Parts: sequence; structure tokens; C-alpha cells
Amino acid sequence: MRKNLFFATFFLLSVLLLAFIVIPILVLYSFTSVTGLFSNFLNGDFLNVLEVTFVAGLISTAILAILGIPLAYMMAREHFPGKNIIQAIVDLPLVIPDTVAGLIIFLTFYSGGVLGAPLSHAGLNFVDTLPGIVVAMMFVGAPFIINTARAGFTSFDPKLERVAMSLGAGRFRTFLSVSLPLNLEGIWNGLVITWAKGVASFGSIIIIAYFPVIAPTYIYSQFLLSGIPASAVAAGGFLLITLAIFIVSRLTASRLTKWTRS
Amino acid sequence: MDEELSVSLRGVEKTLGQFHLGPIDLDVKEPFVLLGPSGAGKTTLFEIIAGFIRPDKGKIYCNGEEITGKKPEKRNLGIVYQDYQLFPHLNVMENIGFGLKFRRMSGREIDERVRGIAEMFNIGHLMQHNVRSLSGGEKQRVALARALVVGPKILLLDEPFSAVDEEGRAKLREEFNSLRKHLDCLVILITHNQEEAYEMAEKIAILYGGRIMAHGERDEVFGRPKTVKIARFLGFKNILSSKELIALNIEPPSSNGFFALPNEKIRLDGTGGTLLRGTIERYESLRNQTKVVINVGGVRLEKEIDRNFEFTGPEIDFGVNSNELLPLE
Repeated sequence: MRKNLFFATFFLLSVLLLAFIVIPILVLYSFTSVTGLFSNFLNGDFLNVLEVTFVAGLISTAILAILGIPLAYMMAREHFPGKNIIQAIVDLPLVIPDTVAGLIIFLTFYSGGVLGAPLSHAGLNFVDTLPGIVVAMMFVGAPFIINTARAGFTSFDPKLERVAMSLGAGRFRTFLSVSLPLNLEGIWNGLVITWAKGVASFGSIIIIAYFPVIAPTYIYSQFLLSGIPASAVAAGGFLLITLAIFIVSRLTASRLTKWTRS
Repeated sequence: MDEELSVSLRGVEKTLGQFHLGPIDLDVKEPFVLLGPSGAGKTTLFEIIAGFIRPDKGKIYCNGEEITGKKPEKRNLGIVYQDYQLFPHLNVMENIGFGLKFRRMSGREIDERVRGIAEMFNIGHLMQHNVRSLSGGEKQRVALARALVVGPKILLLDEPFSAVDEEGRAKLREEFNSLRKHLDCLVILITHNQEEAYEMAEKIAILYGGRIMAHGERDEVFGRPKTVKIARFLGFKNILSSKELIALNIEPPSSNGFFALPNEKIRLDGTGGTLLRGTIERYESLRNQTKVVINVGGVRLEKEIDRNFEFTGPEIDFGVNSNELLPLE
């Protein structure tokens, strides 16, 4: 009886939260139609926006993978002074409001900024450019890849790496042939969440790069210029594609899990 | 073994937080067991020898060559951990051949070497198997084959039989001993299990609190503990001060200090230089024996007695020879 009450209570609370997430999404689709949704994919502007959003998301995720996985590994395996401070720095973008992040990125990367000035001399400009979107996405996405990959690296015994070293593998080869394959799922999940966070960002991007227009900016401008129906159609189309990519990614993660465990 | 294989440690020390290991001086030239309780520093010493931890002080030599600063991948030491640590993303064949990929060998040579050692270890039929599906004994064979296929001079085993229950452990030890004839290397085993330590090598060292407290032939090490702590660790129940011995009318070998009285030296056959009568305070049934706590004038002694022993009442007579007491530091 008590057991049933326990599960009934937890079930009810879980359903409430899931409903809280799903109902607004369903509400969004109640403002659109199937033809309306598909009309998005015949709209050149919308397709351009998607391309910019997803390409910027991929580039930022790829750069974060190269820079973030080594940091995640160091945080998972090594003990060093100041590790807590480094973890706090990693988590900073999570607590900074999106618009503040946008302002920080702008002030750092505009042509007179600390990093923007030398880079603009080298021909790399960030204001209203794809690189501007990429750096903003990187800033907000960094904690996701680092923290997820870190958790993955701590999920297997470091003795496996020691065995590899005792068999003649140096640190790099041990990392590539043992640590990385054993954390494929963690890294993949981290990359997917990082990409999703990037393509869903708005406030952090709009200050440095209103143009080229990304999906969240496009939806917002549709809302301001054309009202709810037009923005709901664009939002519905964007969400549909993002969810499809997310589901495929999750399936890939479970396949990776099976592969590494089989 | 054609050449004399050896591992030597000279003044090795390492501090990890509150724990201090060493100084350790040790010469190993034949199959060797490092025995110690949890927290004694066995794993730290294992990792120092294997090269995963750099000592703060001291030097390590392998076959006469100093290897203190040498990277683990250059030491040519095989290691087998308690839970074998087989690579879960690789099958049996890939696990065994892992180390050969880092040597200048063709794919064909690697294949031949792997198949050769797999046949020798009787795991040839498991080559394509998932390592998760193997039994404890099979995992042990794969782990040993993986460590030995690269031809290490030293094989370090860290509690290799501890991951299973008592019955499985005995079986794994038996299997390991049957594989020993294939081991052309110096085997160093680290364990907390005394029975295992006794069975696996004739030379033993006891590591306790980060220091080597005893070192030598196994019967000497097990039979003649040098300190109170080691005597307790080795299971000596009766550790008596000289005052307690005097209270028992046993002349202590020296006027102060502590002495261990081995269980078998509490004689129930009427022999012994000092004959005593005590009251049995407590009986405890062990699997094959009965443990009794005997009170002799306030001094308590523990004695394990054959289960068939016939007690004649609440009191028991026994004898002790003072020259059979083991002096402890």
C-alpha cells in the first residue's frame, strides 16, 4: 500500500513536470498548420536562417570539442591546486544572463575590443558576421561539453589507462585508444547539448551579430513585424528540425553506448 | 630465466596527503609477495614501481638499471589488477594484442603472437568473445596473456584474486599456479590476504603504516613477528606484557616489553614449563574449532581448540613454556 502510494506520488509529480514542458510546445503547434509548417521549407529566407544557425552551431561545437575535451579530461583525472576555481570559471557562463553574455562578447570581440582589435587586424571581424555568432555560441556552450565529457571520463576506472601505459602506450595513445573510446557516449551527449544550446541562443548572439540572422533572431523579428501566426509557423518549423536532430543524436548516443559496451 | 631478474628500491619515500610511505629498501630477486592491511601503502608502492607515481625520494632499479624517472610505457613491466581491467570496448583478441600495436610488428606477427599465447593459456576459443561475457578464470587468463604477450621482465599483480568469493579465489589461485610455468618473468604479488601471501611465494615482506616491518622467508615472517602491530596483523591473539607474564607465574624472557604467545603453544596435553588453570569465560564456535577465552587471575588468553575437545567443566588446565614466547618490539 505504502509502496503504491510512493510510486503514485512520484508518477504524478513526474507527469506534472513533463506536461509543463510538453503543453507549451503543443500550444505552439495549435497556432500553426501542417501546410504552414511545410511552407517554411519553401521559404528561402527561412532556409538561409537555418543554414546559418546550424553551421554556426556545428563550427562552435567543433571548436569547443577540440578545446573542451582536453580540459574535461584534465578536470576528471588530475589533481592540481586551483581546480575548484577552474570549475567555477567553467560554470560561469551558466550563471551569466544571456544578454550580459552578449554584451561581454561584444565588448571583447568588436573591432576595438581586447581580442577583437588584433583579430580584426588579421582580417577576422566579429560584429554582424558568422564568426561573431560562433564565439557567442562558444561562450554559452562551453560548460555543457566540459561538464558532460568530464562526467564521462570519471565513469570508468583510470586503471584501464594505466594498463594501457604499462603495455607501451604513451599518454596520447592511451587517450586515443582507451579514454576516448570509453567516453564516446559522454562526449557525444556533451556535443549534442552544446550544439543545441548554441542554436537555441538568442540574447548572447543578438548584440554582436544581429546579422547574419539566426533562427531565434528570425523568429523574434517575425513576432515583432508580422505577429504571432507568422512567428509560430517559423518557431514550429525550427523546433521540428531541432527536435528531429536531437532525437537522431540521442539514438546515436545509445548506439555508441551499445558499441562501446559490446 | 636466463638472466637474473630483480627489482630494488633504495630509500623510496612518498607523501600523499596525510599518508607517508617509506623509506622503503627492498631487493626482490625471486617470486615475492608484499603483504599488508588496507591503507598500508601497497597500492602506492605498486604504482611507484610501475611508474604511475613518482617517488619524492629514493631510487628504483629494474635488473640493475635505474628506472626512477622512466615513463610507465618504457619500463617493460606487466601489470594485472584485482579486477583485471580488461578493455571493455575490445574483444579478447584485441585485448591481448593491445600492447603489440605499440611495437614494431606487422599485423601478421601480432596475430601469430596473440594466437600463440592464447593457445598456451587455453583461451584460443574465446578470441572473438566480449570480455564482459568471460568467467573470472577466463578474465584472469586474458589479463595475464595481455600482460605477458609483450614480454615483460617483471609482472606486478595487485590483489589479483580478491574480486571473487572464497571458493572462486581458491580456484583462481590454483589456475594461476598452473599458468606459472609459462611466466618467464619475476612475479611480484601485492595482497592483504595472508593465506594467499603464504601460498604464492616463499619470500614475503609485510608493509604496515607505510613501512616494511618484516621481510624474509615466509615461515620466518609469519612465525616470528617482530612488533606488536605486526603480531596483531598476523592474527596473534595473545600478546602479553612482562607484568602479565609475571602475574601468570611465567618468567618473562626480559623484564619489560611484550611477548606473543602462539595459539599452538598453549598446551592442553599436560606439558609445559608452567602449568596453569583458568576459568573459561566464553565459548565461540568457529567453523572447525571452538574459541575459548580463558581468564587466569585477571589475565585473558584466547585459545582455538579442536571441536572434538572434551571440556570437563568451567575450568581448563594448560601449560606454557617461557622459551616459546616471541619477544616483540
